[in-house]
Amino acid sequence: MLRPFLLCHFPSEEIARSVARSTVLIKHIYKVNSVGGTEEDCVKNSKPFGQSGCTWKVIFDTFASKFPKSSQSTIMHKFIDLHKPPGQVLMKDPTLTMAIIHEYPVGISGAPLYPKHNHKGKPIPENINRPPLSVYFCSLFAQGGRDRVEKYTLKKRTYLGPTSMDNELSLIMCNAGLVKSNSYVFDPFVGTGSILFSASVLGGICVGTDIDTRVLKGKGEGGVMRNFEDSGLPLPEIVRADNSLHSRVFKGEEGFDAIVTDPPYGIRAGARKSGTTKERQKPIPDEHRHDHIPQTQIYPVGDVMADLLTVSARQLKVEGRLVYLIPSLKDFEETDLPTHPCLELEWVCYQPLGLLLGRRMVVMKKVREWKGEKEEEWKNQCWPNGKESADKVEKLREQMALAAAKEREEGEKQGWGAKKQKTKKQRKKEMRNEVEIKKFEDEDNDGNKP
Amino acid sequence: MRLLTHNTLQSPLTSSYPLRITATEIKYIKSSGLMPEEGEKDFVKNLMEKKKLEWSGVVGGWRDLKEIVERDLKGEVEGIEIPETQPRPNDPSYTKTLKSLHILLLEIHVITGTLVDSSNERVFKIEGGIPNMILLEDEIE
Repeated sequence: MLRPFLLCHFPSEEIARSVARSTVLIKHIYKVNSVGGTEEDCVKNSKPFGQSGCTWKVIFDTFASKFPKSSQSTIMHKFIDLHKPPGQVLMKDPTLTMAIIHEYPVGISGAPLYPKHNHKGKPIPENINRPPLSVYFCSLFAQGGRDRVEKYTLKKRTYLGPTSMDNELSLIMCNAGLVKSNSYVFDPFVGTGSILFSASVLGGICVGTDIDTRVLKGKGEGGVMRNFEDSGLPLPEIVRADNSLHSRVFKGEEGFDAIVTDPPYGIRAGARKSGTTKERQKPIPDEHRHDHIPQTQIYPVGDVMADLLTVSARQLKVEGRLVYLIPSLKDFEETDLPTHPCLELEWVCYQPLGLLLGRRMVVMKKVREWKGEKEEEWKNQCWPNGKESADKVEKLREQMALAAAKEREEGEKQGWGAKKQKTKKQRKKEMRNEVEIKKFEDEDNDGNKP
Repeated sequence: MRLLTHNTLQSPLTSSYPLRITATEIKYIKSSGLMPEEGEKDFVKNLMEKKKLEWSGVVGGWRDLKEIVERDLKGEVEGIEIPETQPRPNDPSYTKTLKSLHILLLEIHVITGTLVDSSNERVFKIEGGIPNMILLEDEIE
C-alpha cells in the first residue's frame, strides 16, 4: 500500500518553495491546517484561515477515488460554514486557495487499491463507503515542477527517433543527477538528444557524443540541434565520437557536474563501436581516406557499461553524479549492477514495464579522485558477479522474443487468435490465386488474338 | 562546436594538443538560458578557477578564430582580449578576460570547418557544428 500524499516538515517556507520548484513529480505543496482520521476529526481540529481583505476559493482534492459534485459540495460546506475567510470569493487566482483532501491508498502500480467501480463501470459495494486514510484541510502553498513535463512533451518536437526518451523520465533523471542552472552535463550516448534537452530545460550546459552520424544529423528534420533551436534552448555541444575511445579524444578530467545517459543495450538500437573483427583488413587507399566510412563492430553490454563507468569516474567532478538506465528481466538483481571504486551507488529505482521486463534508474556519486594508472585494474572490477550479469542484459532481446513466441504458441494451442489468422491467411492465398488465374487467362486471351 | 569543447579535445591519434581550427562558417548566438540567473559568467569563472581550462587551448583557439571572427562577426563580437598567460584573480585585467572568455567559450559557434592534428596533419571535419572525431579502422590500434 502506498500513500499518494506525503506529509513532511520543512525548516522554512523558502526551502519548501525551492523544493517545489526543483521537483518533477510533485503536483502541489499544501500547507496543512488540520488533519484527521475522519472528516469530523478534521473539522474539529481546524482553525480559521485567511486575513481580512483576501480573495479565496475552496477546492476538493482526492487521489485514487472519485466523489460526485454534490457530495464534494456537502464536504466543502462542513468546513466553510465553520471558517468562512474574511474576504471575497474569487475563482481565478485568489490569494487563498483552500483545499479539502480525502486520501485513499494506491497499489504498487499507482492504481487505486480500492476502486469504487470495476472496469465495466459497475459499483463495488464494499469500496463505495470505505473511509479515507486521512482527511486534510489545507491551503495551496506552491505548484510543483510538473508543468515542464507538458510544456516540453515529445509530441511538440520536430526531431525524434526510436530511442528518444520520454520527457518526464529524462527530467527525473536529470533531477536525480542534480542538474541545475549552469551545471556542466555530459551524455556519451546522446542519440537524438532527448536527455540533454531536459538537462537544458533545467539550465544545464550540455555536451554529448555519439558514434552514429545518422542519428546526429537526422534525415532532413534538422538533426540533434533542431529541437533545441525550436524551443529556444541553448544549443548543446555535440561531438561525433566513440565512447569506447573516449579517453583518446578528450584530454580528460573535465569536471562534469553530471553524466546522464541511456546506454545502448541493443534492444532498440544495436550498439556499435569503432574497429573491425575481420582478420585481414583491406588497406584504405589514400585518395579515399577522406570519405571512407569507418567500420564498426558489435559493442557488448559488458564493455558498454565498463566504459561508461570508467568515463564517469574520470570525467565527473568529485560529488558529481552518474545517472543511467538499465533494463532487465526478473533474473537481474541489484547486486548484478556494475561497480567502480570511484563511484558509490546512491539510488536505484525499479520501474516495471511488464510482467517480466523492467528497468532501473541508477544514480551513482563520484566519491574518490580518479587515478589514471589504475584504469585497467578498476575496469576489471566492473562486474562484481562476473560476466553473467552483463550477459543477462545482453540476452534480453533474445529472451523477450522467446517469451513472446512461447505466449503465441500457447495461445494457438488454446485456439484463440489462431483461427482468425488462418482464415485471413487463407483468404489472402485465395485472392492471390484468383489474381494469378485472371492474369493467366488474360495472357491467354492476348495470345490468342489474331 | 564552441571553444568550450575545443578546449577538451585532443588528437585521438597522437594526443597532440590543441587541435588547429580552420573555420569557414561561424555563428554568434547570445547565450541566454531558460533560467538565466546571470550565471554563465560564473560557469566560466568556475572552469578557470578549478583549473579545468587549458590555457594553451584558449590561446590557440583564439589565434585560429581571430581573423574570421573579426571579419564575419563584425559588430556582434568586439573587444576580445586573451592574454598569453592565464590571468590570476587579482590581476587588473581579470574581469575583462572573463568577459572575453564568456563570449569566446560559450557564444561563438564553429559551424563548418576542420580540426587538424598539427603533428601529422590528420584532418577532422566539422559539419553542422559537429566535429567528427571517429577513427578509421586502421587507425585504432
